[in-house]
Amino acid sequence: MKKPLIGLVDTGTSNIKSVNYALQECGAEVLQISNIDQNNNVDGIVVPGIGNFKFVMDKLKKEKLDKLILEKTNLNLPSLFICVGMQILFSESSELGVSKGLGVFKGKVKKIANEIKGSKHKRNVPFIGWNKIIKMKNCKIFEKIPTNNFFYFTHSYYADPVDQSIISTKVNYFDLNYCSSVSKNNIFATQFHPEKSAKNGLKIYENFLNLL
Amino acid sequence: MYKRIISRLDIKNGNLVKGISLEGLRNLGSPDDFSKIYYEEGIDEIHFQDVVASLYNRDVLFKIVESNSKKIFVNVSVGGGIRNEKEVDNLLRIGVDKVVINSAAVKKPEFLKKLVERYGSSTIAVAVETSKIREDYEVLIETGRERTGLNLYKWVEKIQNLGVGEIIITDISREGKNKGFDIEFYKKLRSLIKVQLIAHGGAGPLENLANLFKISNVDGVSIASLFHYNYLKSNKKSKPKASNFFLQSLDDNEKKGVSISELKKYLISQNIKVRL
Repeated sequence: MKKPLIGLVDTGTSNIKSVNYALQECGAEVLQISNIDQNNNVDGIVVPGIGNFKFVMDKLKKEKLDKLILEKTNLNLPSLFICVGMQILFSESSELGVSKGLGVFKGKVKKIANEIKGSKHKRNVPFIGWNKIIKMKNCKIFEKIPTNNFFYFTHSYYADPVDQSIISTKVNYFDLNYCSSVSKNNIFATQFHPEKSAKNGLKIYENFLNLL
Repeated sequence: MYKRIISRLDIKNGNLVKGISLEGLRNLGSPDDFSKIYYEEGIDEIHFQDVVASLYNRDVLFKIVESNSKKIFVNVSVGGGIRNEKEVDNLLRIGVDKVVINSAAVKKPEFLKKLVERYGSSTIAVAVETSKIREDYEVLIETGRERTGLNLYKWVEKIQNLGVGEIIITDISREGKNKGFDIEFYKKLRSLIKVQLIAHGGAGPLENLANLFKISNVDGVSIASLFHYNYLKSNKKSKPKASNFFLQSLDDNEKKGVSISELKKYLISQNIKVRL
């Protein structure tokens, strides 16, 4: 059987190779896309995480990769967005001043607060480490992954969707109950890093590739 | 929150090495053998530290990191001799997820600020090596060989203000000795550090590790020889390359080591949350 071809978008600051290896491990062929001229007939796209929201948006615009992403999602091609890759789908972020995102989903990207209401304890920010996801709805990329399973997070900001129905999973960090993944049609996005979440994470990529 | 158990692999000329107080490095064999087992046993993160960071050694390190990243699907951090943005970019493009800066941070703090702005604070960690000199903890660089005159507590405040997301503190005098961490020292650091705090240098008695989480409340611990001893003990026959020094010391009861799953089960029995 022919391997599915994934267009992996180079945002300039991501851990692109880690995502690349995870996709290959799960049976994909990967084409790293650094500019609009590399707009091949891919079967799906992945936008990796890591990096500042504004830097990522600037880089995508400069290479017209924002257009490429929207073109693919408008065609309903399966797409997976990770960490800051998920955040840029929203209206805007407050990281390094207010920056506009792709606006695929309505909502703001906010900083995790140090203060915990009604407690003298504080959250350490960024949050780096493992946490258990809580399923909010059935989502194809979470197939055969039970709720309360561990995934790896590394971030200071989180997306707060206006439309709660897009939320696939949440996660709790000292009473901050926030969105850890969303999905709508063929758009899938995770705040955590599946490529860094050992077996559970590889299962996400496998499920995603099965949609192609 | 769930505490992180991190495996630290010190690399020199392509080999896994281990010393005491960052000195007297012994060759333990191929890092690939160790990292594979650690990943399978459920390590939360792996940290490769280039302890020489010479130009020649650099290519060798890159090859190791690259081959490891293909098979290890947990966070891979790399530290040692990272001095410019180009190098950070190169590392992220071969499978690294987090970079650890040490000497360069002391020499040019604005470098840190630039990295944080570009990559976000959770991608940039600073390693701080420290030793008590007379009454005060001082920051040392170049793998503990060079004094800086910087007060440790002032330095951690400064790097937090520059936006760094994780601080790894190595207590040099205890490093490689397996006698345990100074609980009060890390407790004091915790009161000053609002970003991620990782303790390194001296992991040993399990009760001490439980206290490091319960009392000092660090976010993670970075462990080298404790895991290496256990690995070498359980793979004695298949790994004749490891130095006599290490194999001999395996009979020493204090240095019997522990496996990752044993450690995690113990911590859970002490009501400490870890991923199992």
